[in-house]
Amino acid sequence: MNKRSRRFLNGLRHWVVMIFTTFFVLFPFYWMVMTSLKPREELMASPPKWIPSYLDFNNYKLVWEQMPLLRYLGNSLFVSLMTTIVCLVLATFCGYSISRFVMRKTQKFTSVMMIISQLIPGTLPFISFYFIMYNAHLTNTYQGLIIAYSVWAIPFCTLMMKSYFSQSVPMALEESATLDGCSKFGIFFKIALPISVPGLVATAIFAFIQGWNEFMWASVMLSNNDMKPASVGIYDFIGQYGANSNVSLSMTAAVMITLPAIIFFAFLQKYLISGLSAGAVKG
Amino acid sequence: MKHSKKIMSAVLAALMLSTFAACGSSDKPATDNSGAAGGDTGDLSGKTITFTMQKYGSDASAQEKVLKEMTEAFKEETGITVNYSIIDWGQALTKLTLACTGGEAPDVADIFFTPSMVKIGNGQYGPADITDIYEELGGDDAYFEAVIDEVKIDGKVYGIPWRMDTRAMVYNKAHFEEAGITEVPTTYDELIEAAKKLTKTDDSGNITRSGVVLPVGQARFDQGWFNLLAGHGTSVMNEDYTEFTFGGQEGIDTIQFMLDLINEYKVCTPNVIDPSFDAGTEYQAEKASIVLGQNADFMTAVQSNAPQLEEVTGSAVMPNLTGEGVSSVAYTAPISIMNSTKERAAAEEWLKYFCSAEGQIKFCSAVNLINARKEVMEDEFYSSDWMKAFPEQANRAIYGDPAIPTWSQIDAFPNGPLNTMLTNIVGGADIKTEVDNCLKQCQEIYDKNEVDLG
Amino acid sequence: MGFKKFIDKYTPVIMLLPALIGVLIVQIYPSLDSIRLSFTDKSLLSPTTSYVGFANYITALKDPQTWQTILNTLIFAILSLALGAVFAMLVANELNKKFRGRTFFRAMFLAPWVTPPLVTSAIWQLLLSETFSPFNGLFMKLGWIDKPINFLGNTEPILGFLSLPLISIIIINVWSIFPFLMVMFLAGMQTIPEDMIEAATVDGANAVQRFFKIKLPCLMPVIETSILLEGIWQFNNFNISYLVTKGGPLNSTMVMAVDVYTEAFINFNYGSGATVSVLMMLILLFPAVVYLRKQLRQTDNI
Repeated sequence: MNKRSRRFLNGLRHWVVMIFTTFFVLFPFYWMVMTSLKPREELMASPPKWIPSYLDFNNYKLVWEQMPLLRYLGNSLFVSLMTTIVCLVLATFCGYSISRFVMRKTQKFTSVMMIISQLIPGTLPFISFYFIMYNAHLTNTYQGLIIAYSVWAIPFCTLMMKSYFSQSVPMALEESATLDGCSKFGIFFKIALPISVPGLVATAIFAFIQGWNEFMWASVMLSNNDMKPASVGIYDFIGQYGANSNVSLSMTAAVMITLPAIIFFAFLQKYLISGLSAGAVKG
Repeated sequence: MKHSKKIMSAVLAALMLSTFAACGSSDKPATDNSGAAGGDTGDLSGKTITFTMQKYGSDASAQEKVLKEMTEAFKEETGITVNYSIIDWGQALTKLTLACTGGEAPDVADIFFTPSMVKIGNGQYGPADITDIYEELGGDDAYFEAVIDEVKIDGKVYGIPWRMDTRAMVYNKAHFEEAGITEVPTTYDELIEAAKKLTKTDDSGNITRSGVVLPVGQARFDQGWFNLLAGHGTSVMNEDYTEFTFGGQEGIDTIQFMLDLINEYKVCTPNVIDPSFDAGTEYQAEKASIVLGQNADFMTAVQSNAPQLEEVTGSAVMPNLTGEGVSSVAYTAPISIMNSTKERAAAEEWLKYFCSAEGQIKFCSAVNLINARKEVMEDEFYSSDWMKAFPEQANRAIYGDPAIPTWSQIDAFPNGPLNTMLTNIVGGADIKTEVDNCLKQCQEIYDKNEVDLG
Repeated sequence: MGFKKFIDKYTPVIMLLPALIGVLIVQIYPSLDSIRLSFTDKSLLSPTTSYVGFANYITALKDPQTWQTILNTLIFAILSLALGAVFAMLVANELNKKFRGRTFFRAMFLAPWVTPPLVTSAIWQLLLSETFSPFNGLFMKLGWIDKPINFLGNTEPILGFLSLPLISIIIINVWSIFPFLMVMFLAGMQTIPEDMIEAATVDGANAVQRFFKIKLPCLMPVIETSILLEGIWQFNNFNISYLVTKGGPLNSTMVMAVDVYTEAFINFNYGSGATVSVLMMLILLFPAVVYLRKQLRQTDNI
């Protein structure tokens, strides 16, 4: 086939994929927003209307009054941020160690432990872990959440940083520094770390998202509603038997919880991808 | 240069640690300080206790407001501070179980699955024996019969029944008028007749408006089924909770009745099996005229989701075979003092205050809940047009949850034996086989537990 | 100088110790405890616990429902992964090109990944509800169907082992996880040298050939890592199945993680919950060993 038609088909394929994906990704969000703005009389129509006759913003006022949204979002932000910091520090040190001294027994053992920890389904160790936390007086505290989230994110982040160091930080640089008498810590801080900022950013974003989305542990650990993160916030609108009895309010809450996250990550995506392509990806 | 990076990371670490410490101290709930002086008896002022409740009512702020008022008034009266938390239902069961196995537990708690929790707590944790307080508050005579069994285990009382959830029939008065129905059905036959007149279908014969719907939500049939068992004169277990009786002739008739509504009389949509089908929302969408079992809080949902129906929504006592006697079930949940409490005396004061008639009237009227205390139900709040059917129904109800520790497993949703049986049957399986199968499984679970008791 | 040399010698160990200790305490130890529990009959409702050897395993493996659950879990994981990976690859390939609005699309497609699971399940339950689904409304208007489809409640088996609810939750899962894969693939594609592709185009290769002969092989390491990890995570996935359908109707969407939860938290039976956990770990050992060998072997090459 000639160049023209090939280009046309490529362009066509491009836009078909874009449009389909856009619809697939965005339609649920559209529905979420639209349900939150639907006037009450049209709410229970079946089959439902795709476009409401007018927009009713009343729900937003109601939810704002009923749910301490800023508090929840603030908690989410705080917990995720701290999780990211703790996880990043620990995972970077560990990842570096494994990538540089890979032949040694300790490093091999650690790698194996990191993988094995991924195999574990979260639900059962939950109880054992809860009592560890409880006995350490860490239930119902921010620290408890942060420690749990950080450690859960560590295996994946370690592996990411390890592959990053292996791929993108050349040994040659480090070897010459060793010859100059630099200590191992020194090499790490002076040479490896500065170059690895993209990888750090990408790993940080992953850790952040992990902390942001987690809800089960937070829900069980916290009895104090002041500390609730936003991911649990929507439980406020789900009733006794799990029924979603107040659809419009819960959709409104959903919008208010999800929108900030989407906007925030929209800004970060550039760093995520550039960080990943610099080498954390290959495994 | 070498050192600056080290210093930076040290500073970072120090910052983190200090933030942790700061967070820790500022956000720890006030539960740790047991307050100032106060001897063993007498003066309790200055003490602090924790109180947890699940979320009730569709409006989150109503419960928050009334609790605030009550705890403030209580503090003025007694000097005891009550730190309350409202727990959402998402992980309520997990939290409660953990509390009863030695995890974090409040001093006073709103609990459920009482027999299970008592067993799990094994005397060390979980709900404490408060038979004396129960007697103080009026004992057996003060509460509706249907709910007493839930809190009495081996003759001891482990919680004060407060909220009651009894299910009455909800109907759309406008639809009734339109169909020319002047009297609310009181027997099942009358119900079927009325439903036939109310049902609307489209050209292909699909039901567009059900005359009556089973109170199903998320494809969960058990609760509607319990109502109908009661109306047919039987129940899941016998009086002593030693045998399963739902397999008898009346039980089979009940199941047949449910199926007939869908398949034979065609007055109920077959969509009930969809996990997102909800009888309440179906009614609010005006795709159902009668809901065969709703709780008193339903009106709040109607007011928020479908305000145009508020005027025409009515409640009535559930019909049964004869028009008289038991026609529904009632569930309760007690307020208990936890064994792990360190402020037993203060906790008892709060319990008595909260569960007193005045306390209960104040609370339950704020969140539209029916109460287990007879005196409370005689309050004028419950004589409104919408509410009045419920106290009447309460007198004509039996227990909804048998008071056995394995009940949560037997009635587990969606995959416990009872719910599986019902889903299979509604989906078309043979009644007799399913019922027999289910009886066997229930018996197994029940026996296993009995054996463990040793 | 003795101290400094000492530190320097043990630096590698010092560096990995905090992470290792964290993982050992928080994840490894509770899992070992779970393994131990699986050999007991521990139930919250019973004051005494005793070791029962392999009894739990025998009961579990004899129960046909267990096998059905294992099958469901495998189908769920494999299909989610396959569909997700193919879809993510397609999208990543397009997003790799320069075009107007690329940043916007890239940002937007991330949205499902950062949506809290509770929100995801709430929206999709609404979207797939028989009564309130816009799709049903649309299809009926177009005349494609004459009665609404019961996406989440139809219990008829499809092709013998699938069912509409299972397919539905797989689709929801794909919606939720494809951004992660897309990002990984996209990042990988950015490391493919431009001149290689240009050379191929000059040589007359069309888009399809370029993709399969050049891009794909270059991406293999990325693909392997992402898919292996993601596969393990999806096998352990609890959220979607639990939140959207709770494992119903009739166990058609029951996956092993939900089974563990049910056993432990509803039936209060920790012993059998632990058993299912261990079975999950055993099944996952296969891909895990593959991944480990790749990891340890690959690093030997450096």
